[in-house]
Amino acid sequence: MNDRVPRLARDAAGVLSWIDARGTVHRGVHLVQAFPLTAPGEQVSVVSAEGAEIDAFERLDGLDPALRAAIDAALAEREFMPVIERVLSVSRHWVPSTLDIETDRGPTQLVLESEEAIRRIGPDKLLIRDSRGICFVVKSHSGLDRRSRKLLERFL
Amino acid sequence: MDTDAAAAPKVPAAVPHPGGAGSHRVELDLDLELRFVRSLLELAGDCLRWIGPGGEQREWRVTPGMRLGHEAHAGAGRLQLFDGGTCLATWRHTQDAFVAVQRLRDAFARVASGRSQAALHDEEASARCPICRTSIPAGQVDCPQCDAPEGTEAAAPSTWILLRLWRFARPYKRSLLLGFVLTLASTFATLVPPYLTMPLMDRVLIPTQRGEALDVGLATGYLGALLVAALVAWGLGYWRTYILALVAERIGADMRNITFSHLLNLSLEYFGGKRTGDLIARIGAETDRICVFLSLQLLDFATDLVMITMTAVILASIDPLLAVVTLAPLPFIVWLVYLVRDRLRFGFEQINRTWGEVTNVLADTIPGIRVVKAFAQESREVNRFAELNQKNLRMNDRVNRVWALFAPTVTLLTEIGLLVVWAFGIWQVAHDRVSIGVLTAFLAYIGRFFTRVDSMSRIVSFTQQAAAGAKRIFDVLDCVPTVPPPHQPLPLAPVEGRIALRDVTFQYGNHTVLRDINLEIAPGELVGLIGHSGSGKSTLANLICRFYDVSQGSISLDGRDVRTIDIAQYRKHIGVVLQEPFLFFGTIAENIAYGKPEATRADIIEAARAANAHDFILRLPFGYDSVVGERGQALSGGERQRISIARALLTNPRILILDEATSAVDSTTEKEIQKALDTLVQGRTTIAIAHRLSTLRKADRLVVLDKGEIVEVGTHDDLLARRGAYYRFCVNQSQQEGGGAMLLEVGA
Repeated sequence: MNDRVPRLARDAAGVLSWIDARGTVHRGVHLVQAFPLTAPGEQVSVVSAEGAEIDAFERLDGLDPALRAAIDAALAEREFMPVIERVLSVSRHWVPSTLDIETDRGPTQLVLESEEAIRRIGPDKLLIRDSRGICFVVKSHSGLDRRSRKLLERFL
Repeated sequence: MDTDAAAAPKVPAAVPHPGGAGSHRVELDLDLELRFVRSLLELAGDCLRWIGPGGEQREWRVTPGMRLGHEAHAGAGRLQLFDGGTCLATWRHTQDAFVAVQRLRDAFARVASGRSQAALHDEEASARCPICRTSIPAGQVDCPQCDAPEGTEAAAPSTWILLRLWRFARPYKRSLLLGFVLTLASTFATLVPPYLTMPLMDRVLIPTQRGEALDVGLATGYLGALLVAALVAWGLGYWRTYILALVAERIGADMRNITFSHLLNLSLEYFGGKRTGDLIARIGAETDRICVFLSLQLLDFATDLVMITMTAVILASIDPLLAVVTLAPLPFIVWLVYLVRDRLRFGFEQINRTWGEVTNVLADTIPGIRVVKAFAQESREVNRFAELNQKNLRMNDRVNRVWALFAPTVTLLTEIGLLVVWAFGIWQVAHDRVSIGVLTAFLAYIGRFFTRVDSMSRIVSFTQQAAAGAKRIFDVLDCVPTVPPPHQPLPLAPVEGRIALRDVTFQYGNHTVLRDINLEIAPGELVGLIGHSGSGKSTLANLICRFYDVSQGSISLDGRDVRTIDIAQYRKHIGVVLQEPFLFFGTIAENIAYGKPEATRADIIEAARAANAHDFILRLPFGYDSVVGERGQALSGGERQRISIARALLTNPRILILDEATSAVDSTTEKEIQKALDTLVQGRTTIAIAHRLSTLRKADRLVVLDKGEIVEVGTHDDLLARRGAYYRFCVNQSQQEGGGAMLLEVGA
């Protein structure tokens, strides 16, 4: 029953296991952020395959570096939210419209189905859900280049 | 007891208050056939006396076997005097006399039971209001119930209501004054050019036509002056319009804010009687219309008025006779305006009301879309909407018929006026009484003048629209909350959570929902309320929340009448979980933190864990950042309920009201919610209204209500042993459930 640093392990099949402080192994866990949009990197939970919370961290900062790295890797694998860096063109200025964009994960197209698919988070951050259900993030609307900003503004 | 049916002379001046210790007088206002006839009922010592409308009297000596029965239905009360089983007399009265009659009945009961009335009166006077028996809180002289401010008299429904808008304009006095000065100046500037046409004609054009050399200097001078006047008029006009439009927008915004904040502070009773669409229309469309009126139309009107006055003065100074002829059609136009005004206002009020109804259909149908679709009633709703739109059209047509005639009539009058000036002018010029320049100037002025008169007459329509809108805004603003804030709220000490109800009676409209409820709830106690649908359970909970105020009696928290506590402060200590949890449009985190916006993320997660909601929230794609819609479609009933429990947990209230919190879900979900509720009720004074016995089994006490009265109080076992109303509930339940889980099936 000696307390150890918990560990996140991955087996050959790629399944994540959580070895908690008591040494109990939980197979098939997920790492989940409670506030993925407003406070990423805080309030991270380890959730069992059945969906029950096993462990939780208020913040990741003070964690053991190896554990931190494993958690970050596990989170990165689950979270798929490409960041829009530029808007190249739009097919038209009303919905539905196809936007040619450049993201941090490469160039792609985004089909915007309705204006409600754009959600404002905080004063400057945008979340855009495309027709495939992928969520794109605009980290700072005012930080985009002029052309991208103008193109996006027509939909806001 | 018969009263004189014939139109009766007035009863000798009735005394509305008890004449003193030992005497109670009530003015009854109905006879036995329920006609409005006044008579007087009086209890003096041990003598009950009735004085009829014709002055006839009957008397009874109060004996121990006598009692007064009192009941009310549909706004009319019935008071009956019984001696044993026989009814000696019956009286009827309206709601106006209700409280007084109840007082008389109580006094009668005391006399009949042989207790000294005077002694009782003294004992009461110390702590209670002599009028309504409400307890008077320490530190206050007046009764919080009787002293509540009366609603203001209905405002005169006229254009004068627009003057009340001054209340909103006052903060912008300076800008308004500046705007008015600019209006004067710019109007004056626009009047300069026609004046200049006079010398331009007489000194430049006509001499040139006669063959004299063109005076280039003079002509350039006049033309330059014309240009300068136009430029000045442009600059001043721009400045004026900008300033006044700015002010008007601010007035409109203030009006919306004030109306909305007033609306939200009105008690639930108000919302019970109003329709969403109508209120939305009032705050949205009508403030906007008033705003447009203030910024554009009123401004134009002021300009027109200044313009007309100035023009009249200038015309009179140039040639008084010609001026009189020019201004001749004006009285006709004023008369026309007067004629049309009332019809238009009535029409516009109707239109606004219809517009409110149209919005109502939207506000009804959209939230209820699932019901509409489930019953395949789309076409009916479409028809209902079309019908109202049709009505809207009819109303508009009616107004337009008047309006369509009015505007051209004014134009016709002005044309005729112009014609008259031409004719008279030509005649005058022919007799060399005026110069061509003067006539030209007159015609130039008059062209502007009549355009102004024309546009001014249009203000009639806008004014009436704005007046109708203002009336509907002030309808809201004049409404006084029926749950009035205390005169001098005393700070609330740390709350223990002891609730005491003393003689609580509550009437809704003319229907008595709760009668003489007496209940003490200790801090931390869990009290279950049981009763049939309509027995007053929810009303009791609403009264404790102070959504409504008691009609009589008092509710106190830790010994203080709740009416002396600041409402917002008081409600901070109350958590409510309703049957149908309401989630606002926003993220889950925002919804949980609704009652405590400053809560940290860790607080929110902690509350959600305690409410058994954390796990399912983590399963959502954006966790606590997920947006739940207006009607929270993405979540199941149980999930929404657990969010609302987390919301209540986060504020950490001392008092908790569970209004059928588990009735809308299946039994598996109920178990999950129940777990969350068990955490929630720990150490809190809880009042639970529940269908299912499982919640109430843990209750320290059960209170059984029937027809607005408490019929039984006790623990589950006590009440079962007593074999009374509660027992019958359980038996009923067991039969329905086949003797299995003891569920109480009690309607909402």
